[in-house]
Amino acid sequence: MDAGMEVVYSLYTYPEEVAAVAVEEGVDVIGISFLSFGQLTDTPKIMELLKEKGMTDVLVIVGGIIRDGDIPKLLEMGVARVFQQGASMTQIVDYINEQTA
Amino acid sequence: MFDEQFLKKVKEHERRWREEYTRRHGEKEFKATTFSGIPIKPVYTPTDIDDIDYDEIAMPGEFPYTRGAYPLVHQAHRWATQFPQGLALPETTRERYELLRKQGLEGYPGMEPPLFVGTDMPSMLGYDPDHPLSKGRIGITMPNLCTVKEMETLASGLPLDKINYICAAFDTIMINLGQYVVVAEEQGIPREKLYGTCINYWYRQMYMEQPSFRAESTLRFNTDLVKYCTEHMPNFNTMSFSFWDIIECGGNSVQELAFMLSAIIAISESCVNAGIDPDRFLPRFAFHLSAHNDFFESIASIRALRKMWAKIARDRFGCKNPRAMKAIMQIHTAGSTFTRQQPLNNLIRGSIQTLAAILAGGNSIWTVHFDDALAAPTAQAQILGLRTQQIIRYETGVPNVSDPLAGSYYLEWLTDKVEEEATALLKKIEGMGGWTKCVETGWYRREIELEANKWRESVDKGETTVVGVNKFVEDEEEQKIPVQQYEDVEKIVIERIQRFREERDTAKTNEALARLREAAERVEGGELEGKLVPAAIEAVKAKATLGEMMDIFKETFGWVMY
Repeated sequence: MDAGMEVVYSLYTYPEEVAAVAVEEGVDVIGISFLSFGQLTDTPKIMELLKEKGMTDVLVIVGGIIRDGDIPKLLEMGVARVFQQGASMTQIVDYINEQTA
Repeated sequence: MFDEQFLKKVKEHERRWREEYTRRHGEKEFKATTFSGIPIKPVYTPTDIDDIDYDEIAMPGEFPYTRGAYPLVHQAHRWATQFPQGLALPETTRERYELLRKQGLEGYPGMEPPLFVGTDMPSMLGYDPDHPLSKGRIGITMPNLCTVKEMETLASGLPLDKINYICAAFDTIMINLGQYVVVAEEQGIPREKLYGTCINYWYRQMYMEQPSFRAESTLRFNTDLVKYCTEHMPNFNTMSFSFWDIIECGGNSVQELAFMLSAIIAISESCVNAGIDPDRFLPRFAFHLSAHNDFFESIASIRALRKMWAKIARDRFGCKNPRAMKAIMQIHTAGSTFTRQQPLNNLIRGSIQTLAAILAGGNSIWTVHFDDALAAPTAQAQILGLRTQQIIRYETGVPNVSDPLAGSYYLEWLTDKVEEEATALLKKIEGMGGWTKCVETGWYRREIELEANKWRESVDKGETTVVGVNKFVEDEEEQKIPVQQYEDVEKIVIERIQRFREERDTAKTNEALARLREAAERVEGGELEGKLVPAAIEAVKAKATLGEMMDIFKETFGWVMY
C-alpha cells in the first residue's frame, strides 16, 4: 500500500506483460515509467492490447525522462497525462485520486 | 593531536564565542545535518579534531592516502578530463570524440584523451537491435555496439596503445572488451599494450532494478575476468566500483562507502580464493565516486574512502604493494541533482560539484552536461562541461596545492565521522552475511529506496530546496533549450546487423559459440582459469553478435532479478 493505493509492480518488461498483469489484477490505473526510452513504441502497443481486452476505462499515465515533443504524441495515443522529470509524488497521487474518485 | 596548553587557549576562545553567540541569539540553536543526516554544529574548532591521530591524515602520497595517492596531486598528475562520448551510432560517437579532442580533452600525462563509450540499454542488457525488447530504445542513451564491425567504426585508426578506453558495458563486458581487443590487434597493437577500464557493474542490483547474473555466478564470471586480465592485459582496470551510482539512486554518502566496499570485499575474496595475488589484481580496481550537492560531505567521503580502502587492502588482504592500497578515483558530478526545469542552473551546480571533485583530489573528472535531465548531450552542453574543468585548472589556481582543505577543523572532523559511520555500517553488512546475502535478499535496494523516498518527500514538502523546482519557479516555456536528436538510428542499426549475419560464415560462428558455451560452463562449475575472455575474443572474431553471446552467458550464469 502506498498513499492508500494497492500497487502492483513489474519491471523492464514487454507490453504484453503489462497488459496481462493489468487484466489479471483488474487495475484502475496503469503508470508506465520510461527511463531509457521506448515510450513511443511501447505505449501504443499497450493501448492497443488494453483495447483488445476491453479495458478501455483504465487510466494510463506515463512518466520518466520524456521529451516535450513526445507529450502530444502520447496524449494522442490515449495516455491521460504525462509526468516529466521533477514532477512531485503529491502531484501524481492527487491526479490519480481526482481521476478515480 | 594538540597539547594541553594549546587546547586550553582554544577553549578560552570557544567560551568567548559562546558569550557573543548568546548575546546575539540567546538560546536559539542553529541545527543542520549533512546530506547523509549527520548532525553538524555551526562552527568547528581544534577540540573537534583533537582525538584524531595525525597518522590518519598524514601527507599526500603517504599511507593511508587520505590526502591523495601521490606526493603531488594535480601539479604533477593532471586529472583526466573524462567525458563519455557515446551518441546514437559509432560514427556519431567518434565524431563527438574528435570534436572534444579539438576542444582540449585531456588524458593522464603522456596519454591521449580517454575514449569513454558505453552502450545503449539493449546492448547493456545483451539484446541485439532486432530483438523485440530493443524496439524504441536503440542508440538513445549511447551507441549500440552489437558487433565487431560497429567497434571498428568507433575505434579503428586511433592510437589505441596511448588511449584509455573506458568500456561501459555491464554483463556484456567480455564481449565489448573482446571487440576492442580484436580491433586493436587488427591494427597491430597487442592486447598487453591496451589501457582502459571495464565498467561492468556486476553488483548493480544493490541499487538498480535491472536483471543480472546470479550473485554467486557473477562473482565467478568476474573473477575469471580478473584472472585473465591480470596475466594478459596488465594495464587494463578489470572493474570500476560505482559508489556514484548509489548516490544517484538515492542513497547517502555513508551507504555509498559501506555498500560498495562490501561488494569490493566480496569480489576480492573470490579472487584471492582463486589464487590470484591481491598485490597484483587490486591495483587494477578503479573507484568511481560522486561529487554531489553537499559540498563538504562529498569531499569528506572521497577522503574517507581513500583511507578506508588503504586499511582494508593492507590489513584484510595483507597487501604489501602500495599501489594496491591506493584508491584511484574517477569523480563524477551528480546528474541526479540536475533539473529539467531551468536547465542552465545545472551549469552552476556542475561547476560547484567539479570544484569539490578537484579539491578532493579526483584523478579523472566528469562534469555532467547541463542538459542531462533532458537527453544525451548536445555538443555545446558537453563542451561547457569541459570548459568548467579547464577554467578551474587554468584560471583559479586551485590545483597548485595538494589537498588544500586538509586541516580544516570541519572537514577533518567530517572525514573522520563519515569513516566511522561507514565502518559501522560495513560491519553490520558483514554480520548479515556480506554482499552475496544482502544482494540476494534485496536488502541494499530496500535501504536505498527508503532513503530516496525520504528525499522525495522532503522535496515535495519543501523541506529540501531544489531551486527552480520547488522554489523560485519560473514559466517553463521560456526555458527551452536545444535537445540532441537523431533520426533513423534504429533502422540503420537493424539493417547493419542483418547484413552482418548474412555475410558471415555461420558454421564458423556456431563453432566459436559452442566453445564459448563450454568455457562458460567450466567457469560456472568453478574452474576459474581465465579462459572465458579468450573464448569471447574468438567468438567476436568469428563474428558472433553480442546478443548471441549474451544468450549463452544468461543461460549459464542465470538472468535474475532479486
